[in-house]
Amino acid sequence: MKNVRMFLRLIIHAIRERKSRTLIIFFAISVGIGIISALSSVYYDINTKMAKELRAYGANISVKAAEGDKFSIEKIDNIKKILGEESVVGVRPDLYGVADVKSNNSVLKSKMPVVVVGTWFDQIDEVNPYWKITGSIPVEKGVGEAVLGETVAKKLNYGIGDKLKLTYGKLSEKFIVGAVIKTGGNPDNKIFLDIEEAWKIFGNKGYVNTAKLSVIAGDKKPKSLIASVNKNVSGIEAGSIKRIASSEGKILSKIKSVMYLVVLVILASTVLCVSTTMMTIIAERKKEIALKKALGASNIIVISEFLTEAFVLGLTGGIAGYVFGYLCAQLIGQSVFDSYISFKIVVVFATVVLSAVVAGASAMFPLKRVINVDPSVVLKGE
Amino acid sequence: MFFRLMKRTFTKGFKSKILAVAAIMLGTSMATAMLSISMDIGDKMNRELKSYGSNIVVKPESAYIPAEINGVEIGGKRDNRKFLTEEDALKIKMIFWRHNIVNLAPYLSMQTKVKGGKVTVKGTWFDDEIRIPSGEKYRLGIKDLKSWWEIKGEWIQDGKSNNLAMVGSDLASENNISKGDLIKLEFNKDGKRIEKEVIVKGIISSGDEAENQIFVPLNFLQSALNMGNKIEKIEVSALTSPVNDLARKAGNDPESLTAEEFETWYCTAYANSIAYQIEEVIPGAVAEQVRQISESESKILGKINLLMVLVTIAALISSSLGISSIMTTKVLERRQEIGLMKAIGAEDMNIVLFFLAEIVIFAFVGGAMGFFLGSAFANIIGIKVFSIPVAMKLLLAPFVIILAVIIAVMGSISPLKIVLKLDPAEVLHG
Repeated sequence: MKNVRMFLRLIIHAIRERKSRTLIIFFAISVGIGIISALSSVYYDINTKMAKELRAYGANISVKAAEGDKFSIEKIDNIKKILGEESVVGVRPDLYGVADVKSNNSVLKSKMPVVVVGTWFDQIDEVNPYWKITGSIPVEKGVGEAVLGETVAKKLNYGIGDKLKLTYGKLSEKFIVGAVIKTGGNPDNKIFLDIEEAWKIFGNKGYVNTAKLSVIAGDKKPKSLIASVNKNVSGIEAGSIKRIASSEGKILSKIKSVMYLVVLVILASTVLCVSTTMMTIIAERKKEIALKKALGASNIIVISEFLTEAFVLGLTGGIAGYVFGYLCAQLIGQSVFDSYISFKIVVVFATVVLSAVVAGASAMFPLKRVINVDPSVVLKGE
Repeated sequence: MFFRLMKRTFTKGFKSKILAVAAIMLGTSMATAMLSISMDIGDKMNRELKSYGSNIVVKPESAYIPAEINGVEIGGKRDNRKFLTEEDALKIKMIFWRHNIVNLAPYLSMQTKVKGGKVTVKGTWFDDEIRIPSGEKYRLGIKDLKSWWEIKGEWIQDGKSNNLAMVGSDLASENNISKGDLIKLEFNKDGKRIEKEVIVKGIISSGDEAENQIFVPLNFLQSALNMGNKIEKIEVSALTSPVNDLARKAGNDPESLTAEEFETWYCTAYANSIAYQIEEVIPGAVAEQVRQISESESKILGKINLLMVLVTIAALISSSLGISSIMTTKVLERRQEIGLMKAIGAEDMNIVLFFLAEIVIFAFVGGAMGFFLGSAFANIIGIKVFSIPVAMKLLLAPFVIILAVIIAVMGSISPLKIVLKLDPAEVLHG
């Protein structure tokens, strides 16, 4: 009991009496460990975060009818449930039809067949964030507005606010052009309507041809997601849009491995930097060790004293470092991904333990060399 | 005297100083590695993002609106179709930014009948050796452009005018076509029936409209239908710089740029300036960015760059702290030496100069070694992740070495000040 008290007093004394040195090593440990914990927090989150960013490329899963060419729009809700509402960024169903549109040229009044797509306007931002929209996408459902692809608008000479007549068989409906979209792809050749309006023209109420989903796969494999959709929802066939999905996998793994190696390099150099400082500080205390030995302390006692001191420093430095690192990680998360980096208990343990082990190990190394000094030689001076 | 002292530094007690040099080396190596990687990451990731396929599409200007649903053509007036020529496609490899054109493929698409059903057949280059007018040879075609296609069977190589074909998987399963089959394509050209037989080399599963189509060598389709060297679409994959305000302004209206802005825009590899240059060399063509690819690409690249910059800053902080803490301890450790110097009459200034000279030399040596070690780290990362080494950036060397020296000096100044204030008698007495 008395020994323990003495032991504690020695350690507290060592830390208190050597303020400047203790402060330096504490600072070095906490900043080093802080940077390591910040980067490893970011590393653990990078997959989900980048997967979310990669949704800029739009839909990665497409759904079509298993038999026939249309499926009920209600299936979309089932699919969302299977995938998990929070991982579905957006869903946009498409009902296709071809209608005749008259050219708006004053001279040439020729008619042209144009592909018309009935869809959900409010999902365009989520599923096709890369579309360049002039005008404004209609917000309310079922209003008599149409969105034109750029080619259609240019070739048939329609501008925003113009009236446009779609003719399908004997039916014809009038719409106001609400927006023109530019994509550089197929949608430029199409006219978009609200799905309710499209059903009015082409019939098939409640049914659609395809649906495109933008889904954050994250750590789950897109293939297994699709398999579970196909297993649990009948009457539809989901498939990955390989152009987006397969490239996404490649890009994610590249980013992840860059981060992994970068964190590894930083971890190694930081740890070594911290431990060199630690080693210097211990080696400097040769005299103190000699004095303790002269007073009759055994090697074991001296080592355990120094190690405890190092562990205490490592632990407190590690905890302070983790807090600092967590703040740094949030700074990175906010400025790069506009969202918070998630809290991972693994990182807390790993960094604090790492910190203590590094402090202990780098104290041990010089101790081993110094411990067998001859007290009389050291105390007498060089 | 000064030099004798310096010499002694390197002969006696050198061992204990190795630690300081090692710490400086490690810190510098971390900074070097991160700086080299973050300077290179944009370029490397840009190449990786090419796996998303073409980002520019070139088409002839025409009044025709294609009516297509999932790659199947529906009615539509095709009588006034316009075309480009195969030579036009080659011109793309000769624009100002030709080195940024990674790949390209021309297309000619025709309607055909297979076993009674209407199908779109496209003539293109698969993996063809193409010689451009300036004499250089390139391997171009959709094999690289469509990296996400999964092929059962094999890709067509140097298709030329061979009667080979690759068939979309949906079409193949509907009509029971498999690899090695001979299928008959029935064309209807100006009322005349033309029949051609092709051998199926591979089945395409792509998750897009190509699954309903047939792909054949371009020259084969052109000669089968007497189309000369006509093509009607070119897909281009180009390495581009991320979109910024200037590119956006030019995208809205190139006319609105001032002469100076125009020059900057023209001489930067933005997707829209490359498209502009393509339009310049191919009269009557419209080059458009595939926004799904080009827009998203700049967003992602921007994010990755920003991430690496922040990580680099973190690494710089960590390495400067590592260096300055070891310097501080090293100086504090030598209290007695300083006390002794003072006791035998050295002036403060002399001591400071002596210490600084020593520190600068150590920081210089450590920084130089750290530069090489860091370049090696960066290289390993480059090879491991991108299979391309990250080139050693000699320009970085003076920067990181000077950084190491400055940080080492700054780290030692405040402890030197503290130690100099101490009374020699007290220090030496212990």
